[in-house]
Amino acid sequence: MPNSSFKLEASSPLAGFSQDFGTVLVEELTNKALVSIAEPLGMKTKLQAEVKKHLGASWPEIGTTTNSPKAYHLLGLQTDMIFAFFDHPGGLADAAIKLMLKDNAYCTDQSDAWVIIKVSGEGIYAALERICPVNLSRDAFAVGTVQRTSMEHLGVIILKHAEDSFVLMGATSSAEDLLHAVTVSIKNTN
Amino acid sequence: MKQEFRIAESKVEKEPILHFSFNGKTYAGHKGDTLASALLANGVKMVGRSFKYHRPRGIFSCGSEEPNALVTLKTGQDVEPNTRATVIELYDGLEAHSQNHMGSLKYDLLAFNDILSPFLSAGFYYKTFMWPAAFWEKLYEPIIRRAAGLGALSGKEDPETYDKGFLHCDLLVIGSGSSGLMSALTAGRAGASVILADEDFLLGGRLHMEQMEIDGSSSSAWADKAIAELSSMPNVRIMPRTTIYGSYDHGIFGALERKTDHLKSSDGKPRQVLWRVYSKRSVLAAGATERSIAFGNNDRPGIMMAGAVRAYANRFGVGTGKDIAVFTNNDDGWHTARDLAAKGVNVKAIIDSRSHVNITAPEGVQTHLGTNVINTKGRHALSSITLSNGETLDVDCLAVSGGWSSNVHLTCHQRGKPQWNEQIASFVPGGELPVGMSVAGAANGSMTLASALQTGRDTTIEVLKDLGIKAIKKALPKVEDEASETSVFFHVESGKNRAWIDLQNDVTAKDVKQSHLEGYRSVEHLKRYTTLGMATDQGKTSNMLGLAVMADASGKTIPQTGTTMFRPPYTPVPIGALAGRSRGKEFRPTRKTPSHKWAKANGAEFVEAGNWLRAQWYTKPGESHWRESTDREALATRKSVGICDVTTLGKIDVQGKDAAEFLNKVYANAFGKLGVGKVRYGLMLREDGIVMDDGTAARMSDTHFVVTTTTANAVNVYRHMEFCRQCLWPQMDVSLISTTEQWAQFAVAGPNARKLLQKIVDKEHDISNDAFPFMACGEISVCGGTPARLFRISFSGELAYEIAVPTRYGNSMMSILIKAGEKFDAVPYGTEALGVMRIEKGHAAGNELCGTTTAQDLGLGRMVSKKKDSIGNTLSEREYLTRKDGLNLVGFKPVDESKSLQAGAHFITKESEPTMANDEGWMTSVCYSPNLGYSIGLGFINNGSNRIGETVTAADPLRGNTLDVEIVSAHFIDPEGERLRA
Repeated sequence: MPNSSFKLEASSPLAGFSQDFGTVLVEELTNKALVSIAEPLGMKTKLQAEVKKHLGASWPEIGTTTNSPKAYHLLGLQTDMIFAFFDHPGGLADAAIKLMLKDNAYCTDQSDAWVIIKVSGEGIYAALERICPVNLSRDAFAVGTVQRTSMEHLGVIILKHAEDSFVLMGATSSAEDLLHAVTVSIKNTN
Repeated sequence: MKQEFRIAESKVEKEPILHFSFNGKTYAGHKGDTLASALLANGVKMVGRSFKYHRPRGIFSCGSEEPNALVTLKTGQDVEPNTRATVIELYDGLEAHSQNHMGSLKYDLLAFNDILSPFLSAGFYYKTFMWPAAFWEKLYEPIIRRAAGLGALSGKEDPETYDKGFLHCDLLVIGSGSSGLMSALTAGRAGASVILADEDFLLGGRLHMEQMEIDGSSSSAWADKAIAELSSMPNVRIMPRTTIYGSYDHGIFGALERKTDHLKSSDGKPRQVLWRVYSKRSVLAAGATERSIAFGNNDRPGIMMAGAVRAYANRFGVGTGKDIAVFTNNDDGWHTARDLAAKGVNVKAIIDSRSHVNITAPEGVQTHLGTNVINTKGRHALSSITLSNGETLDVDCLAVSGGWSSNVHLTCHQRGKPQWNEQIASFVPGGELPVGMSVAGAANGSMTLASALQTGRDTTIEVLKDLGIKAIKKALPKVEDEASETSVFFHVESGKNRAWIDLQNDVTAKDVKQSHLEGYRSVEHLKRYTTLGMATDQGKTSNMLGLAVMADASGKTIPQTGTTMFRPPYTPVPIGALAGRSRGKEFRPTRKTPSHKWAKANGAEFVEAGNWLRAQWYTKPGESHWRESTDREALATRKSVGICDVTTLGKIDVQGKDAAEFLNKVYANAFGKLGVGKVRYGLMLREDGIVMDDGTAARMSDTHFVVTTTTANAVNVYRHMEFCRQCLWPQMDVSLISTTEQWAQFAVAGPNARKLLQKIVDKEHDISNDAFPFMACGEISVCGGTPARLFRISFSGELAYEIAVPTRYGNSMMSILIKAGEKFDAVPYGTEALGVMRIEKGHAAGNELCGTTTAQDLGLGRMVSKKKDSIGNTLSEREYLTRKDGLNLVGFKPVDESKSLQAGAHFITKESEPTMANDEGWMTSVCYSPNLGYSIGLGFINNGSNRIGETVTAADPLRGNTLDVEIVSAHFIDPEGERLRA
């Protein structure tokens, strides 16, 4: 029987921050889920088939993403693990994935571990080159590219999901510092 | 404010007029001027005093190689000393002051140092001021520092901001002179991504400083056109005011871009940006630097580099004197005479050390071949020169050219050794160049315009080919090669007159010879002994002279003598730029716990634990000392219930069919048979048998464990486990991922912990003692369905749980736990109370797991299972580590309970001397126990567990707190563990 005397309230790391800096729009994405999908030893082929079947996208190579009609974005981050990035309003996001992939994968909810910041606009390249060591030029970092990197001593996953638009994922605990690094860069280059 | 030395059309803009001040006096200049050109236009010749002898010094060059004209910019907190007037871009309102003088610049009281010069030669401070020794630090050194020095810092925080950044390109072109522009054009036209960087604010290098023709127009106009074409290319990034100061591994370069130094105010933007440039290839087109000739009294204001004199006339429209002479050993000096004469400046004579030349002087200019300048006169500025033929010429400017040295610096930053080229009397790049680097133009010894353009193009075509980019080969611009014959001639014997080698450090030819006489044979020793080539100019105009004089003294050739090693930075880089944003609170990121906001709103004082900010204690109204708060929190927790955010402890989800076996191997104790729903304390050893970390592992399912680590070792343990997984046992089916930030975790401790939790845990989860005993764990839900994890573990020794909810609920969870606990007077507690309770319970923490202690030391020797193998197991059995009388972790209390213990005190037997030989161990952790009413501590002492009841001395001589302590059990509270099982 649920104990409903007390109600927990969810809060996002940046309280839904959103600000238009003119050439760059910065928004915290609060309705997204991240679930790691790791490959059990020797089950690569089986898992990739199950992922394709249930999530509708193929297993991404490292540094790339694949998308599915079911709105799952799969991020290739290391040899035996990917992240599924998708809309999810709350709760344990790994449950749904686990239900589909069953024993063919080791899934872990990472949604609350990461702050997710979308930065977009024509000024974003100038701003990010102040903090991001990765070459983000259009030729080198096409839409759909994903990379693990660090910005101002913070571990960050950077995903280019559309032209002139990036998603930055950083640790929840230092979300304010990541936002600060981004906004200072924008102000410094505006 | 008449600019009486402004002579002709140039690259400076006539309107508007910019006003600036030097030593409080206002002058006029123009956009496009440097501070140096503007001062010269106003007839200001003397701009500073020399480093050691306080001799009058003027502007010597027109670029970053300047040794003399160091000034202090701005005032107050903004002050910036030791900036080179030759590279300071003039702006309206610029304030500059001369430096290194006592009294006015003109009448410097410290000029008497020059009279003492016979006693102040190279290395004098190694030989004098030796007695009495105590006087050195208190008297001699302060006096010497006051008398010999550069400008002074404000001593206040730099008010400017700085930034850093990262750039990427196919080709980095360093220098925008003729070869650099040609290189950038070739690569840009081919579609390569190009960065063209130049330290100057006006791109084009010497093309603006010469009167030469390219494709039928002036070299300056050709440069402007080339820049315009490059600016139209989206694949080319042009970076003026940017110095490539260092060449590092893998084609990475350091670059300093001066963003706002040419503006009166930075307007809140970073003053400078320090870039890390990742290049696939680079073309060094840094040109060459003119060097001087050493002759008697060659340091007076008005004695300048000939190329600079020409540049001031051509680029800045400034005549550097009314009557100018040229002293040269090469054809380039003659070009200066030619250009000056063309501008209507009176050139009195050309003095050439060579007996024969193939170049003609402008009409009306006397020439003295096979002749040298041997002396000069002029108190505050040059008034006359004396020639070796006995003639004296009254001149106010002497343009000196000792030839040009290729700017090889960046080719040497990875220990490349330049090679001597006799034909041009210069070192050129040699040996192995930095990865991906090619060199073009004068930097590579191509000293004429035509050859610079050609090598700029051809080198780049090769580079593009290497990159797989097809070059568009266009015809080279049409130019005629200028006369460029030179000779190897550096030093005029000048008798008693001092011939200056290094103007910045007041090093003379005599100093170099003396250094050799005193046995300094290596050129590196010469540099250290005489200070030749040190400081802001790094000897750009002087190193060659010094080498030549040393070679002469030692009877060696210049290539046999070699050069000193060039190291980054090429020109000075402010410390602020190196720091970037990493200042104050931005030095490192801050990690905040999920309940940070609640804690802040409820009186928490925070402590830094690594990067984390943790609540240290919560101050209640009326509490004025941290001990009051901490004591209250510890007492309330033991009496009823307390809540602490423990999210910072590392959490690692371990999944896989081999997860249990994997933990069996990384932990010293056994995990294979741990049942689902159970937690076990785990001890992790390093390979050498020393304790690495401790924590818990909770088995959530057959294939899923949740491992916790200490806060400090969260990353280390995760890294270690990943190493084990990937490298040691890749055949195991194990997957790891950090969930430290995914779950907000709270310790709920105290006799009423269960009752409190029962108010929020959903009813279908039975957490009674029978259903959920000590060391149980499970996945539950709280507050009407929110997923949670519950662990019945205790750091405080009380009935305790740790409950975890997704981090998004962390702040709310803290609030709800307190609210649900109102009936029990629940309190939040911070790290201080947490520490008190763990010491009372005798639990080890970071102070005890200090990287030198073993499981046996900690009293946990039996945890190292001998029924299985694990990391560190074998080496933990080493004889010394298992000795019977080794260290044991035990408790301590003061014999006089009114006294306070101090961590760090060392134990000795009573009546012993506090010496290393008598050292028996040390106090690791102490606290005041509010439950016991006196100070208690944990510590390691030899054979401690067999010495319970013995009194020893805790020696603390440094802090004067030596006192007698009694060895007691480490378990001060509930030694039988009844509370935590309640």
